[in-house]
Amino acid sequence: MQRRTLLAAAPAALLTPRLARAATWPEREITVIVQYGPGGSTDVSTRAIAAEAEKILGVPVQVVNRPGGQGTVGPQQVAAARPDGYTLGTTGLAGLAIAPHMLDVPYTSDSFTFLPAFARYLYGIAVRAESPHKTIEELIAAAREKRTTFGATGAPNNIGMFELGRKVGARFQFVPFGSGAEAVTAALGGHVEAVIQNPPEMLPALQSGRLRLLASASAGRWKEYPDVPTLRERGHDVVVDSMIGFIAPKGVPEERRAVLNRAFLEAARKPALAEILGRFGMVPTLMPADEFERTVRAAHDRFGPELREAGLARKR
Amino acid sequence: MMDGLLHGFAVLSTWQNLSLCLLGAVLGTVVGVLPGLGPATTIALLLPITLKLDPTGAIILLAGIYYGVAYGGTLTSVLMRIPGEASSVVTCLDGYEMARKGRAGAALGIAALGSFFAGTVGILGVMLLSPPLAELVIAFGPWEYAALMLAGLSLIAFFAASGLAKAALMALLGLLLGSVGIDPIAGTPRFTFGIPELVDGINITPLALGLFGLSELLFLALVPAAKSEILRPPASLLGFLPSREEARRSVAPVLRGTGLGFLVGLLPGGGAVLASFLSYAVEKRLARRPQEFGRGAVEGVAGPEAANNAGTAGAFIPLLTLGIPANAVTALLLGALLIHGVQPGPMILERQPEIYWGVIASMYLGNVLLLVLNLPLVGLFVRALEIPRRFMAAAILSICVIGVYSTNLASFDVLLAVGFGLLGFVLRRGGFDLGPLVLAYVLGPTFERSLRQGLLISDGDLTELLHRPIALGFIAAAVLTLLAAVLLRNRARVAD
Repeated sequence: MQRRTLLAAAPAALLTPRLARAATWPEREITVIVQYGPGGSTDVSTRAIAAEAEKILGVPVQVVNRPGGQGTVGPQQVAAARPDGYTLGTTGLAGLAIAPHMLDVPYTSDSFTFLPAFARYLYGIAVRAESPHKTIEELIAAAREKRTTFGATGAPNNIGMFELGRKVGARFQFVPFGSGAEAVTAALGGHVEAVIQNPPEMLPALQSGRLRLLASASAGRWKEYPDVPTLRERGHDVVVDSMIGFIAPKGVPEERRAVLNRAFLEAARKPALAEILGRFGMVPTLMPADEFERTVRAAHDRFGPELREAGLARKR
Repeated sequence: MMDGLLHGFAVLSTWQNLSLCLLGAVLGTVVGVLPGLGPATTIALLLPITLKLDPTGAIILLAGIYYGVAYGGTLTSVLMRIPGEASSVVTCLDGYEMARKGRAGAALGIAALGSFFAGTVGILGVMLLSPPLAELVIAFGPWEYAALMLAGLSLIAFFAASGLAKAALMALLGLLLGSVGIDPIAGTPRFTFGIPELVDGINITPLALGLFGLSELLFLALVPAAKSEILRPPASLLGFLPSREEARRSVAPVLRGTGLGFLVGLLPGGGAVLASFLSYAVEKRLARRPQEFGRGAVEGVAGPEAANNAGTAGAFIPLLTLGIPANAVTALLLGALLIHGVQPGPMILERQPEIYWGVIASMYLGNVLLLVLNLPLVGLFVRALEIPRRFMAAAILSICVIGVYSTNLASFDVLLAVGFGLLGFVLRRGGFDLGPLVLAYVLGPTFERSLRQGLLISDGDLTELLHRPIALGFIAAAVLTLLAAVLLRNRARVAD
């Protein structure tokens, strides 16, 4: 049976490339500019989806890293590229919705053609094993009593804690760390009272029992800790969210945009991708281009006042 | 534990793993020699390839690159005054001066032997001391970091061959250069003059290659060819052997460098670069003839080169026991493990002992391989000193430019390096030492960040320090160092 289909498919396969070439795009390799360095969760996830998209698009999808400027150098290069659909990039909320409030960047959301997003980051709030706080409620109660410190790398993690503090009338003091690993270490040593970060840096300490997860700060629970509730389930309407999505320069022709949209949405459904994402503590997500764009724009407008209130926004 | 280690050697003794260990060591040496191409870039480039290997083999290969780099970085530092790796920047100070005195072989030989000793002891430390040291890592909070950096900065007082005022001036310049970029607490840019390339701060590669490599080029150009001193290659093939006197003087610095490097390597944000600089400062402080530092003191090569190797080994402890990467390279190793579906951290010893012990065993073997690889290479590379100066100058220029550009693929970095080359030239002509500048540039940012973190945590209350014995110890050391520097100087003045 298999053999027969192969035989039947062979002549078709020989014929289609020519016919197809006239009508289809792309004709050569596509470059994806990743805004962070190699080896991290964004890079690995993008490489995984690029490998799937390659099979669908029929041309190589090459990933290059342009780290720097807090994730703004990559989008900057995408915005300046030719809008022919051959140069794409990845971004999350950090590059498009947060950094523009803190740094001078030469782009806005209007500089881009949005494509689908495919993965979400997970966030969680934890304390060290020796901490007296067993639940998120106890941590909140303590923070109502007195100023309570937490470690994180920056926005959106810290914004989430500020929001939580405002909603429950508690004082959370943000202590910034250079990396998630350093923030977790400081929490383990009791130098800060809590930490809000992502699974890759938290899981080793959680699994060895040195760190206790109090709540998922994302929309869903962590798959490793199905019993730990989300903030929302506890009645606090706070969700810390960021995602990895594709962007292209403004003005990519509509039909090429449609091809890319279809290819990335299809690639995002592959089980192989879900497995890689899971290992880096990311959640597979199917977010069409228009929804990704709406999310980024809404987050940009929301983060502005929040960052200013926290004293973190750029002075004008 | 012996069982574990034997299991590790059994894991290692497949053809595949043995050749991966050798490949890692060779690649590490090459990467170490080439400026700009660092271990992080190389490991990142190789990540997709390691997907085809089993996780043990992948980590053996990548770890080999990581600790191999600390061997290779010395070579260009000594021969050309170009640091091959950030952790060998400080070796430029005395290693190159040794080469100018015809002791290039000895400098490289001491570095290779010291590296081997420190590397091997470091792995022993990882094997025997992991659990208690993991507790030390955790006990280190912002106040402890700030106090440690302060103690390190205070050592600048002893750096000052050129005088205390000049050293202080250079240290201030170094602090200033280190503070360019994103404010570590507010997250907004400062001293960037609207230049986007400066948002991430001044990278150590253009700074070090400019200050040391390019400025040396200008010096070479200044000296008339006939009069110029020629770097003398050693007379015999065995010229890499240090003299008895040099060997004797190196023993204590290697031992101290090993201990210091190992401890600094443990700390998140620490690592081999910090370790090498602190070791240099300590050796200078303890040296019987501190005036020789900067003029080819063998202690200034032996200590830091041992420290950077021990530092790379030390960084494995938080990775393997806490699942916490202490620096960018171990973060990539963590990523490599994650790609293979291995969750690093304390559970690794129970769930996948073959990975833990395989890597430990491969590190023992890798260090032996690196020594065997590097010693004959010393004899070979030292011949490079016979190359006429005008060709050598061209080589230095191209290596510097390629090295700087390839780090971030940024042409701005090349301009920056040229600027630092001019600055280094002017400063050295003016009799300023570059040591304090680079030390302050390396230590300053960590000091600032930690101090401000500490103050945020205590709500601006400095009395919090009283509850922190480790931090108080470092501060006392810093105060004593400064006092000693002033008193010794006064005594020297009276004696004059």
